[in-house]
Amino acid sequence: MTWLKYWRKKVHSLNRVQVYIVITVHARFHSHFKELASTGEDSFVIEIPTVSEFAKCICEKYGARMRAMLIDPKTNELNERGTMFVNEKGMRVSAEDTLEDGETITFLVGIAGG
Amino acid sequence: MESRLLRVDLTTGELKSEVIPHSIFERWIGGSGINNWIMWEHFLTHDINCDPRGPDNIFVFGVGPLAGTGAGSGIKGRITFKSPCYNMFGDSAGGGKFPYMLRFTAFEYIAITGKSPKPVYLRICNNEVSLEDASHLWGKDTLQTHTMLREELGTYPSKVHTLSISQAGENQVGIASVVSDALRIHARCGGGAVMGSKNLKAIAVQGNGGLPIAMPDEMLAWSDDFRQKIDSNEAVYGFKRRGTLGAVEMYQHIGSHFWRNNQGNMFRGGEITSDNWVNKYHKYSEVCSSDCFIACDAKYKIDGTESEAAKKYIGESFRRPEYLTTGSAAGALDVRDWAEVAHWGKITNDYGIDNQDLSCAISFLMELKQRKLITDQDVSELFGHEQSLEWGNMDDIEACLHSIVFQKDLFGKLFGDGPYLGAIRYSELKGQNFMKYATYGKGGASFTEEMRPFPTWMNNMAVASRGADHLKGIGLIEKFQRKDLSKIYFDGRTEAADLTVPTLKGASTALIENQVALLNSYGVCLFHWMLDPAGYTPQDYYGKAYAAATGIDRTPDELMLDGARICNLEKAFNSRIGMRREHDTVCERWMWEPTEEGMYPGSVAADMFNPVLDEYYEWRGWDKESGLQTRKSLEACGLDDVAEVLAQEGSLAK
Repeated sequence: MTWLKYWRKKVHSLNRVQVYIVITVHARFHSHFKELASTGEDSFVIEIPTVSEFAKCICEKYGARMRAMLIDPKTNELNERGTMFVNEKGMRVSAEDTLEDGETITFLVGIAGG
Repeated sequence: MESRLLRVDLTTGELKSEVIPHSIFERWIGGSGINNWIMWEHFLTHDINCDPRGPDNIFVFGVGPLAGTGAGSGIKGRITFKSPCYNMFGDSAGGGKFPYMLRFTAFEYIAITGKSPKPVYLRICNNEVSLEDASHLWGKDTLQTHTMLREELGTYPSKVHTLSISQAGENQVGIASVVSDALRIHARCGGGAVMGSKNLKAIAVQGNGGLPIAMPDEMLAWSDDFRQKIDSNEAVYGFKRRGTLGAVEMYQHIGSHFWRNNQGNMFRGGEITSDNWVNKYHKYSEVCSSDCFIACDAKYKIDGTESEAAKKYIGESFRRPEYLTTGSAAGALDVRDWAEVAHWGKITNDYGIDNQDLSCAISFLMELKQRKLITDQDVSELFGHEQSLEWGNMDDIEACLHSIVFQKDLFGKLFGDGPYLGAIRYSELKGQNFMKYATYGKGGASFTEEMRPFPTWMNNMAVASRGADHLKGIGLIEKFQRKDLSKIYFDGRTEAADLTVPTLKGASTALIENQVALLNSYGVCLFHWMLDPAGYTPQDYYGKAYAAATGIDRTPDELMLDGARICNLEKAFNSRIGMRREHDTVCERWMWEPTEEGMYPGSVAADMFNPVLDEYYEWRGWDKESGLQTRKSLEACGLDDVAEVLAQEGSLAK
């Protein structure tokens, strides 16, 4: 969905009542993410359907340590160091990626081998 | 930078100290680089096609220049030898305190040749060295050996730190390991069998000397910066808490476990599929490699409350399982109880045996039984008695382990060199081809992770100098789909992070092999780099620490060339013993059998295998048809002398 289409969809004027189209995105937390959130899954209603907005909502709810895990303080982008965020197809998502209503993003630690 | 090498001839009992001059560090960095060179030189005057269990093989221990400096990057020592189980280049890293304690004596490298007429151990106490009778230690496991040596040798000038073998090494089992302080294991390639073949039970070191640091202020500044970087990454705290067990849930999610001899790629059972176990029973770390700011390891004692099965192991104390120990038990063998997984980690360590090779050998046999390709009668012939060979049956699994360690029956004798040779031998014995069920790459046993969806990892399995190895070219970019890293490494291109195309996968292997060769030569743990490969670049960030420690200041490009030189020497070793492109391959299961579960179903290696391998050779500058090095590629990294040796022996590409 392009930004233009999104904003057209998001805001409608109907008899002077403004209707916002929002989406629900599910989060599945594993390992250290799960410990920080104290839960394995959660859902968030977001107004801007991007991964960065989704991450922002998660940080707001779970606080500074979750923020430190999710966001790279230097770049203000998603923290790539020791983490892995994937969609339902197993593909890594980036901050600028668009999300669909009902989609689930899984937050994993990025560790391999031993 | 200078260092000392202790040469030990066990046949004559001669002990000789040599200086390793600065020029050797300039060329080989240290650690695994210098080990490789010592072995290369040895086999210029000894038959490289010798029996790896014979007196002509060499066993080298070395530790890199960053170890013990307080750099905070973890310490890894390295053993190097011709592998008795894979019959090619062999080496293995291990942590603990043994490596840095060796640096506190007068020596940093030990090269052992010949064969002692009776069991001995090598004692190094500062600059005094001796060979001591080890007949009282023979027949003991690694924990008993370590404990006895500590009691015997006292605590002056320091506590004793040991490198030892168990009964498996004494019996020259091909997959026998070498264990540091009875806790940290040099698992791969069968170094334990080499020590056993030389009647060398252990090396015990005590030292209180200092370490020469070329630029101490710079070293401290680097260490400070490193600490701050580590502390600023929240992911590190997760790593401290779980160690590599953090991979359990990630792999369960994407389908990257190695279940039942890789018939599947997800764990089955309740708690075993998550790392909740860590939260329930573990605190933060107590033990790890010395000098590590992360310390991802921890001790664990089974108290019997964990599960019904745990009652069998009450009081058993060991490290908590790391990922590959878990992968071998909960994955390859389908053990579904955490206490049993922990027990598996302890017994494979105490018996000094590689649990990757061992689990692949046992699970191979279990699969034959599951598929009714062998009968109860066949199993009785292998073990001399009935054995259920049920998946997850810990009693059966332990019986298989004892069979191999003590070489007491046919199974032990057939599979003592791991699953590849074991499967060949058993197929010949039964007159049936069972190779379809053996998991291996280049003749080396698989490590217990699913690799079919990951072309870089699969290529690593095929080309690694020591066979089926995930560490030498570890596929971080691809498995974690790190487009950012791909862009950094490949001029803005992102294909290295894309699982669906073969492009830049062979290139990734070549590039990361060079980086890992540097880390292994510095003598540090790989995990800090793995957490932030762009931040802790071996050729740049670590290069500064190397310069501070040694005074050898190199540009990143020069260091990458050093890494390539080290990799090329390992390749040249294998070329000399006749390995060519056809050896750079993987097992039938990976090549042709599609994955059926996880996030990437339908994956087979064959889809991308040859283009990736071709690209790897191209990036190395090697001949694609034969897989051999070219003179030009060797001269490009300053190995003219090596090219000459290969040319004389017909192992250089035409």
